[in-house]
Amino acid sequence: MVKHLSSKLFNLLLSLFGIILLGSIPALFDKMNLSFSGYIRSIKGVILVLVGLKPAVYGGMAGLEKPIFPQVFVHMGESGLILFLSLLAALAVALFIVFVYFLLPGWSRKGIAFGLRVLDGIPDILFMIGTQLLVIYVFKETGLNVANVATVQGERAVLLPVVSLAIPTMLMFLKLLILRFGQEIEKDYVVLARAKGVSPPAILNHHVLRNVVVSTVYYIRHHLWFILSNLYLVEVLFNVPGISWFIKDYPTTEVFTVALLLIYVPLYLSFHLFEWAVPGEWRHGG
Amino acid sequence: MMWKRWRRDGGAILSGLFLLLLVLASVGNTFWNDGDVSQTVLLKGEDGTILAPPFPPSKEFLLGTDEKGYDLLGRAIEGAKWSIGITVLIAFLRTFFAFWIGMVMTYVPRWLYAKLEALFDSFSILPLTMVAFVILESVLLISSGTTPVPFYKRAGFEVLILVILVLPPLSFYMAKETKRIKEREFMDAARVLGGSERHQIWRHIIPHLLPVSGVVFIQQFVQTLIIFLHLGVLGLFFGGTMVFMGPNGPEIESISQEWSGLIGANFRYIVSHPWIPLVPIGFYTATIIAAQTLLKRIEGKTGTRSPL
Repeated sequence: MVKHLSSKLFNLLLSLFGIILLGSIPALFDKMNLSFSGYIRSIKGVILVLVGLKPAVYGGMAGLEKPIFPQVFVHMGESGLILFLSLLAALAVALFIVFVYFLLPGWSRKGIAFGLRVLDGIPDILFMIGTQLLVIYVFKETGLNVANVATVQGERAVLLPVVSLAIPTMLMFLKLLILRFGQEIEKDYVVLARAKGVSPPAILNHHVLRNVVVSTVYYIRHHLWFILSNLYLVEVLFNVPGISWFIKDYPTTEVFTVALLLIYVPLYLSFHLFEWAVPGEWRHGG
Repeated sequence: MMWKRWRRDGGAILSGLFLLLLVLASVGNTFWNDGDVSQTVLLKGEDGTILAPPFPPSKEFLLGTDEKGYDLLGRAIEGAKWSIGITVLIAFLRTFFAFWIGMVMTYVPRWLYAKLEALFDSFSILPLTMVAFVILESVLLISSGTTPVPFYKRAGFEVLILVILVLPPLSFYMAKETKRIKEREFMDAARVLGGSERHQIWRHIIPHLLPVSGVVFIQQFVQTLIIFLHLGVLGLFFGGTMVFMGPNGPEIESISQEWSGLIGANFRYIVSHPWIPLVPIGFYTATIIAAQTLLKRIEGKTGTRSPL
């Protein structure tokens, strides 16, 4: 156990080191010329900041720096809130649709599958712009402000960022759920339940869903880089004061690396907690 | 019979034709038309009023014009060869290097493999758009005050970064696929019969790995298109020219008519004249859908499922 834990810890440290190497890449290219000394200096600086030997500050001009640390958590919270809410909404909607899908007759499933394929090809950016344009259009036509299009001084935009991030995520979940549900309902226990006369909604709800949902949630690990990329764009487009805002305004390698670490570490911890707490059969969908 | 086949392959054929025609039209425009795009500076309305660009999509301008009166359909077609060409190049480099690195990785001892996987773990989680944007932006921002670096250097740099950032996760994927092939029974047979390592690689592993690489290639093509689309919206042209969008900000035209540049330069019109940025975005969308249709077909044929 101790050995296992220490090896885990060593791996985490290695991953963090990998991020530091990644975060300092901007310093590696000085006016398009390779500058290894600058790279090493930047890495040293980042490590000193992380160990606490160098004050972690942001803000360009000398003398006007502000400490990174309490401030960055505010931005992180904003990003985390939008990510969490949209993941939740995406999963809920996807589950609802997948239930409807499997209770419908075969011919209408084909239509839905085709619609999904088309939607899948649409770049996520169109959903973000689309929701924005839609709200503006509704406002122009009816004078009704459905939701804030962007965060401007105190007026927070939460609904639109969440919705436009949730749509592509929902499509991703839906694609995966349809695949997994389809595999699962072929299994013997479902046939048995059907033969016993259990109603299809009950089979889906009691048996299939429980066997599938955990592995689906776990699977987002492979798509996280994409969801987070979308989150970054959503934050920029809707002017959300999230972590992207922080990076955009204060682009030093130290701030960049700290931000990357703050994105990575919570996700790493939650995935490992998940692995530790949830048995493997559930994760891989038995 | 015919109908069935058409239903199965029709989408893929149409998609292939679409991509081919787009590139051919684009190359043709350069050869026979000198890469010119028709420009309409002023237009006389029916009632005699003089209209100024941008003109919305109409019979005359199928997809409308931008604020300088350039026909957007023409600009998008002229830019197609750059956007598609550079994306193909990036996708090819990614697949090629991941293929060989993955192959080498299968010879790495297990403990080292695990450590390497840990070291590069973040590459598969962190948002690629953000990392690519910050790296490209910060590097090119430094050079913006001084004499500009030649275009090919900036373009090469962008290609390099977009390839390298994806290599670690992709190489691990290819290594996993290679390992899976190595564990197959016929590989045991090849070893028992005394096939040398070289023979095993060239005669057995590579033929089985090529279909996987084909799938990976198209997938990386789609992924690169999406990244370019994102970078374009964020205001980063291909070649790395930074544009600060704002009412008084400097205006930089996309030299090569390349799509992400068209988006970047025109994204501020999204509310007032939405068709201007939506045309290049639409071309990206069509290309992505075409590539995905092709991917579906190839996956069905080779039985390989896509990674990531």
